Amino acid sequence: MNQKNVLYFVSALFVALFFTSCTKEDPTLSTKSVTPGAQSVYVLNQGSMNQNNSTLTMYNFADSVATTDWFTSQNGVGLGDTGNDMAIYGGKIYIVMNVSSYVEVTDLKGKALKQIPLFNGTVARQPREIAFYKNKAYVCSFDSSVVRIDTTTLAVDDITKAGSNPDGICVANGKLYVSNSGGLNYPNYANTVSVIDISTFTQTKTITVITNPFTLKSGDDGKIYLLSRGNYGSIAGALQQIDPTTDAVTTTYPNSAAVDFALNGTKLYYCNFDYSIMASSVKVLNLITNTATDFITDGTTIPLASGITVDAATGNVYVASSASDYVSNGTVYCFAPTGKKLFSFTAGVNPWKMIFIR
Amino acid sequence: MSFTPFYGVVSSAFHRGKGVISLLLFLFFHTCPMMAQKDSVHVIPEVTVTAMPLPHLSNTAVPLQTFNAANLAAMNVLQLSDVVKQFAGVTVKDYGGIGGLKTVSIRGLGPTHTAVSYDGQLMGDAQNGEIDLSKLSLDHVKEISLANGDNEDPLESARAFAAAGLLSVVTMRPHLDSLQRYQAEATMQTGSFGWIHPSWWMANRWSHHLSTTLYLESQYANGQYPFSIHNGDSIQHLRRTNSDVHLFHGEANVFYVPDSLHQLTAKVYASGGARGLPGAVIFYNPYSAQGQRLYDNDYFLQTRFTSILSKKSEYAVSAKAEDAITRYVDPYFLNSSGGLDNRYRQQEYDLSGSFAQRFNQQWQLSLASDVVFNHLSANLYHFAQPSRFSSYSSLKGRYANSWFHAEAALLSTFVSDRVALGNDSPHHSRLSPMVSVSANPFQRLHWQWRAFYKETFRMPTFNELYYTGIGNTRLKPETAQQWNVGTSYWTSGSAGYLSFSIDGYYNRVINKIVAVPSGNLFIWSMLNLGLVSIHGVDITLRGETRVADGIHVTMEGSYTYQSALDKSNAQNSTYNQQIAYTPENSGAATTGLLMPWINMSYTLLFSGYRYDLSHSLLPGYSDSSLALWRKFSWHHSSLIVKGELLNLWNEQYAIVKNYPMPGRSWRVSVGIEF
Repeated sequence: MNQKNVLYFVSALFVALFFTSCTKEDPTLSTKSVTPGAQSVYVLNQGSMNQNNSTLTMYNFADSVATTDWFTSQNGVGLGDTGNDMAIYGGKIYIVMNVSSYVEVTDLKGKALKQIPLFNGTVARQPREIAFYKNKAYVCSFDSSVVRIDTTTLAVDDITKAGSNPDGICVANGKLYVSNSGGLNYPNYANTVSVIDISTFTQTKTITVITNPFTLKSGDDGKIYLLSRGNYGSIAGALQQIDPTTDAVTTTYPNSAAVDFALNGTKLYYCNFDYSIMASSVKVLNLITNTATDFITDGTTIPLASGITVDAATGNVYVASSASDYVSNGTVYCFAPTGKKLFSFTAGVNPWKMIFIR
Repeated sequence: MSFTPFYGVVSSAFHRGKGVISLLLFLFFHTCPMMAQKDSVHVIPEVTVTAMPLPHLSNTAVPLQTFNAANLAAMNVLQLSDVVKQFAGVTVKDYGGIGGLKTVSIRGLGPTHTAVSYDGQLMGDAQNGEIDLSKLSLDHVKEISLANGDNEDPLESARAFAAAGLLSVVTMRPHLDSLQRYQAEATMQTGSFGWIHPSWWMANRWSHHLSTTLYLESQYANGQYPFSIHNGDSIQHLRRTNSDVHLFHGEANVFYVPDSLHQLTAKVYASGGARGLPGAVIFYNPYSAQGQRLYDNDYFLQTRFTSILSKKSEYAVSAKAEDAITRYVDPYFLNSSGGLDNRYRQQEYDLSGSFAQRFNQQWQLSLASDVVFNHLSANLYHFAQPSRFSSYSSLKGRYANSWFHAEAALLSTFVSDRVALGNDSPHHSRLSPMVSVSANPFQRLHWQWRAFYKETFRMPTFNELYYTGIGNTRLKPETAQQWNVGTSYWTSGSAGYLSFSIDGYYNRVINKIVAVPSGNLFIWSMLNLGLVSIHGVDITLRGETRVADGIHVTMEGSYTYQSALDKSNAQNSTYNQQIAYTPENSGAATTGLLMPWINMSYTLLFSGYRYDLSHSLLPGYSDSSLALWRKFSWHHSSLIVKGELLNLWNEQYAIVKNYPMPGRSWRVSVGIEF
């Protein structure tokens, strides 16, 4: 019974940890030209811890049909346990699987190309997030490592070290930024972002940020945006802006506790679930005026907001929501830029990361 | 075979004109329907049992299912939890393997509503609130019984009565007299997955008044069994690792019977073990099962004194002190201190007294009271180090005539917690009622009708209230309500016996404690959010017949239908759906062929589909096993040889998702009795 209990509570901590999200696009590849319209959206569902029920949902715009477990229908096997990040680079999809401890590489149809296991000897690294720069993928893992993967050979070619329990990664100004959450050291969370020089692939400095940082994204304005969780007590979570030329925190946004955020031009969308009132909120922050307003204008309520993404082609905002019990299938809501709901579809358990196939 | 003196208590009266069947509700050796007595309390000196033992499920006013030593010998089971799986109305949550957690839930109420008693005294676990059946040995168990509602013992402790259901395990008592002053048994078992299990049991009769038993066992298994698991459309063939078990268990029992009216028993118990925790099977991660280990040491001392004051009154007092230490280690946990090493220590002290008074042939009153102290300490950050004082008092009144039996009981409970750090949970004070009636309206027929209502509650556990960062001190107790209507019939004759029972029930669990992310996504907490409504039917069938001289056929079967629906929140997709890990249909059957030259038995367990925690379907399963055994006797010694094939058809299944059960395995044991 003790066995179960200890496992249960550790699992609970883990499950909770996994509610982070990040989209990182290689700034070297980003173009300011018009983004083509998407044919489909893929949703990575974390599943529940230790259930091997992480899934990839495919929603097809042509017929408005969502296939909950698209990965299994394409490959005959499941993704495994606790999908934590997903991104497209060079015509391939990279899916970061935390508890199964590997990176799944697929083509744009979701057909598996290669599994890249991430283990230190026999110890699972527990990868969390991925970023890309000049034909290399960088994956940060809970074991403090950042591995470099060659996107041509799909093999690990180097490993370096960041801080405690890295939980977010992005590229800006030719440098890698890795958030050190210390999330497995409750109550002593970490509060730094590691700056890693890409050419030497070594950490050069750390930036002190608000406690328990996770998602990092680089914006079109060249700035880095960072979300910290805080310590769930005296320190509140908040969004912050880091200037990658000075590596200093330039802005901390007030009342910006969030579970996820997404960038689109001068707008930062963020969603949250406030347990004191048991309600989700979605806000849009104007990065020029630094003012935040409610995004949803048609009264749509989201049960348990967990992830948010913007389709750059249309400006439509996608909000993923867990089911209110966290264990059954969740829902993805699509909103027009005006904040009016366009449609919704059912995803898997604890939907989370979304990418658009164009 | 004869026994040291013992006491029988009349508790039910069904046989008009034929006296009263006496149920020997405590310290009994076999159920003996032929011992009809009219007195409420009487002394039975040496008794010789010759009749075919009859299961007493047919005799009780509330559903009571029992397996005695003969039933157990005929079962092909590895562990005590496998026996419990054969009861009707029971769901055993089994994480697989010898060391895997096994908890028992009765009629959909959840494991925290089941109390487990070992030789008459409750096993406690204030930290988790549920007893791991893998802790209990099956060796030298004389009887395992499961009571819903009330076990009818007039001297039942108030704490045992406080649970919705009671699983009782009673171990062997010495069967000695002045001609045979000692008895011993040495057994060696071995089997698949590195299973080695030596044990030693010895009973000594030191005087007419004093006898003792000593039991020592150790268990070792590497636990590395192969299994198959579905991943999408493919089947993966893997092997369970980090599932080794090293256990030791020893206990000594003292039985002091100064005269025919008094009895003192005492038990000293020690167990210790180390086991690997294989965890859930994680796809694509071949090293997920490594490093995590659980070490536990459990020591307790319990004693009970019973005294018959007169033909109309008797009392019992008992005491227990327990110290249990658990250590959980995970060297691969990715924190900065390089792993987890959590240590927990639980202490429990229980003082209990009960008194029964009969006023006349119809009316009886029982009073019982328990005071219990629990403490939990742990090396967790900011841990509350809680202590709990609980007092239970029960008052039961019974009326019984030759064909009708009624009982009303009221339990008063007071619970108060103290913590060294943080906030206490508020005090709780509750009254819990129970009423039962049973009738045997047809003369000469052993055909009984029964009904009961019982309301109980269980306190939130220390983990639920105080676990650092997760506990919620504002939790209310979880209430269980049970309504039951049933009938049973038995018949016996020189050719054998047959018994049948069917009970229908409606249960509700109110304020069910569930874990939800709360306060923040990172902080999961416990809330009184759940409401479960359960309709069910339990059916049992037992029989034995003599087909030829010395050749007997036995059969036991149980079937359970349970509709246990989640009524918590209409917004949830699981609303009005079957709760997790509770099959709608399940059952068990054992048939035995007992012959002079060999005995054989076949056991089948089956379960229909279930839902896992994500409300996806887990397929049903069936698990069959076969045993052959024989006892060779000469002079005063005998040799018992038994061979078993477990999971005969190598069915690959999991009771808990991603915790696979072993496939086909074998076991042989050789025992010498002298």
